[in-house]
Amino acid sequence: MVTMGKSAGLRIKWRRRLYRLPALLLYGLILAAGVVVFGFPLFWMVRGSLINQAMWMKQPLVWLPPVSELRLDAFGGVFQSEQFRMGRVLLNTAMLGLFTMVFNVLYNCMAGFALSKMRLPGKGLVLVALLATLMIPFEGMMVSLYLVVAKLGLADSMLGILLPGAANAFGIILMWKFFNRVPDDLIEAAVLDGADWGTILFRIAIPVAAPAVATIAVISFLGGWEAFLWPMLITDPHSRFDVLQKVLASATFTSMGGSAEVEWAYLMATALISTVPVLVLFFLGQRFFIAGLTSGAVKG
Amino acid sequence: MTGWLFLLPGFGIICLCVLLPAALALGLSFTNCSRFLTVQWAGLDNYRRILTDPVALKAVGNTLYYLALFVPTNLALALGIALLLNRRFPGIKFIRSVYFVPVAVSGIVAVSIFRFLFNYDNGPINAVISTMGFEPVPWLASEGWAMIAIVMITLWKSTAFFSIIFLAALQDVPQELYEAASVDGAGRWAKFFHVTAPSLLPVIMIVFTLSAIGAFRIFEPMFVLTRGGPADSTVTVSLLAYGAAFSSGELGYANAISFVLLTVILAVTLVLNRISRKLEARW
Repeated sequence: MVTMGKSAGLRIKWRRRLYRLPALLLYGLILAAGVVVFGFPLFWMVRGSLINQAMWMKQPLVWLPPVSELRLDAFGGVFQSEQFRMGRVLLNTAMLGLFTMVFNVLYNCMAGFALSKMRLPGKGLVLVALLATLMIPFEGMMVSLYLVVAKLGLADSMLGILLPGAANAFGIILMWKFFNRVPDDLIEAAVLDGADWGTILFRIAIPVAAPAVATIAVISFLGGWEAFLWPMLITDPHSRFDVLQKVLASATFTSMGGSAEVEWAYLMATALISTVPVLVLFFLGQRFFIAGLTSGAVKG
Repeated sequence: MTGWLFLLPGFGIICLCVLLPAALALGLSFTNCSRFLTVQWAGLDNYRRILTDPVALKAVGNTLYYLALFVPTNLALALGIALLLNRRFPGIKFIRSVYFVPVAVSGIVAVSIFRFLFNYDNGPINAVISTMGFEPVPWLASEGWAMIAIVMITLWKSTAFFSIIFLAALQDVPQELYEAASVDGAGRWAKFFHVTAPSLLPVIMIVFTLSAIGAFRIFEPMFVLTRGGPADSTVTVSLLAYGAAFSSGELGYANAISFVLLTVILAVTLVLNRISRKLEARW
């Protein structure tokens, strides 16, 4: 009796699955179509970085070039090329990403901590000002920001590129909210023990707020690594402070004229070099990465 | 006093690099400041010029056209993809990460890749179109198609990003609500409209606001691919401000355009936030 009941139940389950098979197949097909649409540009980037100009121009289009036609030349070429100067540009970009990260973590934590836990006359006004700046679009102030930074004598310098991104109102507010959840008793006990504020911040508050710090670290590193508009505005054309996105953008623009000056494989190799570190970060710490990107949107 | 010392580096940078430039944009917009920084009072001349300059009006129209194409499509696609991915399926975790990968690609890299996807002679998109028996499309070189091509580029990245947000929100909807609806005899559509949609409403409003702001600001793809062409069909407000400042050196005019953009975005943000708060209160 018992076994019969079980097999009957199984049979019904299977029949139901069979009945749902067409719907399931359709679902799988739509999913696969999406994978193609979203993944294809990446495939095209990799393909494009591995073929020479003749293969690029081949008519009709060769979707999958034979392995014997694939070359890694472009990845060496961008380091030699006068236009791409990958060695220097990569170093600039990595420095911009790392310094942006370090300064953001430091300054945002300090400011958020001061707003949350320290005596600060005019705190309300500061918070209102910070919230207001969240709504100011960069494109609406890029011209006047350029004038300010140029007036400071920082045009076409690493410091000039770094300065506007070295702290962030969203980051300060995020840290402020996080530190608000740290019990005051914890801080007061440390003050009574004679600890100075620096020690309290670095030894007590920041370790407690580690997830928020990680979020800020991820967003700000990406912000520096992928920065385009500001570095482009504040540096001279073909500057020694050029970063990846600027070099890629200007080479892409040059290639639009149809001139054969730019090897298309160089463009895609540069794009790949810019993307791989971010992809690694994305797959290693997908949870943190996504939390970092979406926290601004959802909780902000 | 130590409090201010801790606050100062971060807040100082924000004052210097956000608040001061915003105020400066307003101030300079009433002058005819040139590239040599000679400042002369010009009253409302720059604002009057925006209203009469045909290129400026075209830029406003183009920006609104981009917004009208981008925002609804982005919302629908991102929500659709999130619903698609919010199911159990063998390998769904891996499939989700493929869908989300465009988020890890920078805006400029996306533009650079799509520049080749849209190639007239040897681009894969035209290859598919030709195989289906249609005429190849001169995407970025044609007045009618350039903006549509640019919308497709930005959609690739932003639908991936916003479907992450929608998926997170979908998974936060309490399962009990669906069970209760099932007990009440609700079908799939009834569940969507009575459980899913109301729970998602706040997130829908956030996505709507963010994509509208992004659309008003749009700059990069036009700057890299078309510089506003062909025939000014992709000039946007940001591009206009950039050109006025860095090509023609009319800093007063550039700042007036910038300040209009800034005010519009500020107003849109405030209004949409207020609407979403009212909607949430009523539901």
